[in-house]
Amino acid sequence: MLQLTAIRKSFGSHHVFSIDELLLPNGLFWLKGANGSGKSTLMKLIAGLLPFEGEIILNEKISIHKRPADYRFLVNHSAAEPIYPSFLTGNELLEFVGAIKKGTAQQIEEVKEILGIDSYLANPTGSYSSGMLKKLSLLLAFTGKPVWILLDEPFTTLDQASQSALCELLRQRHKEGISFIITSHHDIETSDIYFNKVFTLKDKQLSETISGQ
Amino acid sequence: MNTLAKILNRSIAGPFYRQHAGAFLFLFFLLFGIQPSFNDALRTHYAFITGILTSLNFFFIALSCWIFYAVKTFLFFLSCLQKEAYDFLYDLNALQPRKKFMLLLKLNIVLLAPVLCYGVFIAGVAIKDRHFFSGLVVVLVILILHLLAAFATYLLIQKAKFLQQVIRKNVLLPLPKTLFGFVLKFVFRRQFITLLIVKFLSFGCLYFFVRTEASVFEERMLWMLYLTSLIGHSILVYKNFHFMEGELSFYRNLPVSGFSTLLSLFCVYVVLLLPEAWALRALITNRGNASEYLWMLLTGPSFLLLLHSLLYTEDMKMEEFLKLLFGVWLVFVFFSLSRNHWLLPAICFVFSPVIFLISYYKYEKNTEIEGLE
Repeated sequence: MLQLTAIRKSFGSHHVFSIDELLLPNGLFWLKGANGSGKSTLMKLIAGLLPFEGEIILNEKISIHKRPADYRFLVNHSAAEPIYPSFLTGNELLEFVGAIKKGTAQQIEEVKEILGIDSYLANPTGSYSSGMLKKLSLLLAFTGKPVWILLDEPFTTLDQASQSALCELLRQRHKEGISFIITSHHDIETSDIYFNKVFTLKDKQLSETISGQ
Repeated sequence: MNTLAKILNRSIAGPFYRQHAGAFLFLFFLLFGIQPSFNDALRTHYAFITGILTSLNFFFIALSCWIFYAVKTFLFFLSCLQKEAYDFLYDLNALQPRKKFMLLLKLNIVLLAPVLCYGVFIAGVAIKDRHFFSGLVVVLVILILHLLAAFATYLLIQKAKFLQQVIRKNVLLPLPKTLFGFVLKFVFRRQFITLLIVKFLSFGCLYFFVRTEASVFEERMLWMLYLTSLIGHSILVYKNFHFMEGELSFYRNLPVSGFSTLLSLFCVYVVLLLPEAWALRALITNRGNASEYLWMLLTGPSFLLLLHSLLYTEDMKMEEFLKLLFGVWLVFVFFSLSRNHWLLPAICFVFSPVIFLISYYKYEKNTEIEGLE
């Protein structure tokens, strides 16, 4: 369970959004919103990439502020536009993140196979296309033992086959007990994915749009 | 000048001189501007040139400067070659080898023009003062430097694919896949020239100062010099910080404790300061001052770590960082005047973790804020 309390995010004097109280039980959640509404900011905030006012508590006991390392061990994030050092290879990053997040070789191989990530991981990320970078970012997000995975625009820049593979991976991991928050401004609710709740960020407020199954 | 040569000059030589205009201006000011008059400047350079022609040591100093400059132009050419926009350079491989070499020689003549110009003056002075043999040697050396530079760029274009593979496989730098390894790799790959310049100055100054007879300078001068050379490393610290908060920003989502991050950075700065540690070892061998050496060894990396931690307190532009550096330098120079030199590393070791742990998760880039305001 993820509990957000008295969240307020501003960039200088520019107020981005406020969330008084949000309780997310385990499940699959879709965060909608127009461009610039603050979806990515909210995702980064939950991932611990940006500072904010308020509190986020995981499983009723792990505070993002009080136990930052424990929290980050259980929450993974894939950015909308991932950036990595261009001189490092995908394998180096994978080894680095895998060691810290305690990802197993078997788990990594499995995700690699599903997403169709092949030999290019041996090349520096500077030579990757945006789709390849996205796949690497997804692979890193699925590495380790997370209980929550935050996927920011995961389907953007992926080809049709990879999108289907990602849907399959989401279903599989969700069955294993991992919860997801996915942002997208496209309609991503298909026969493969059912969201427990759909939220919309609009006018600096977060509101529940539809209750799913 | 044919079209190909013009294209090379406009796409490589032009950007090189534009990019380094500030450095050239500074150098010009240093070589000509600080003299009281033009005649004085001429006299100084005449003395330089005579030194090059008559003293082997002076000649080697000049030669190392020219080689350093040639390496700089070569690295610029290499950086161009790595950009997609410069893919057309590979088309030169379709030319006859001789024509291709001549083309690259012309390019290198333009790139190495400052060396060539000085060479012409040296030849003139050699003829005037009848230093025919040494003049001939200098001219030959400059000629060989041009040929070598052209040959290096020739090989680079021809073997670019192979070299890229070598770089991709990281054969050149097998560092651990940790934060420590990534930051070091960043320093060696992206800040190589800066590192070289900083090390050349810092190592050179410390090495000769420590070996100077102890009675010539007061002991505390060494601390002032050491602190100044550490401040010189701040450019590396500043860039490391922005590397971590830019390309390596995903690191913030990783479950790593603040102390572990600090330890990795401390190790990076220990490695970067190894040449200084070696330069200062004469404190033990020549002066028998082991405790002073220990305090200096500890102060170096911890001081750089403190600078790194201070960068998290606020998103600083270079100007603001320089002001902060001046303040920190003054404080440390003040403490270095006391007899208790253990205070310097102690301050660093206490304040670095405190500042880092308080500020790290609160840090946010101003650039994102400015874009919205």
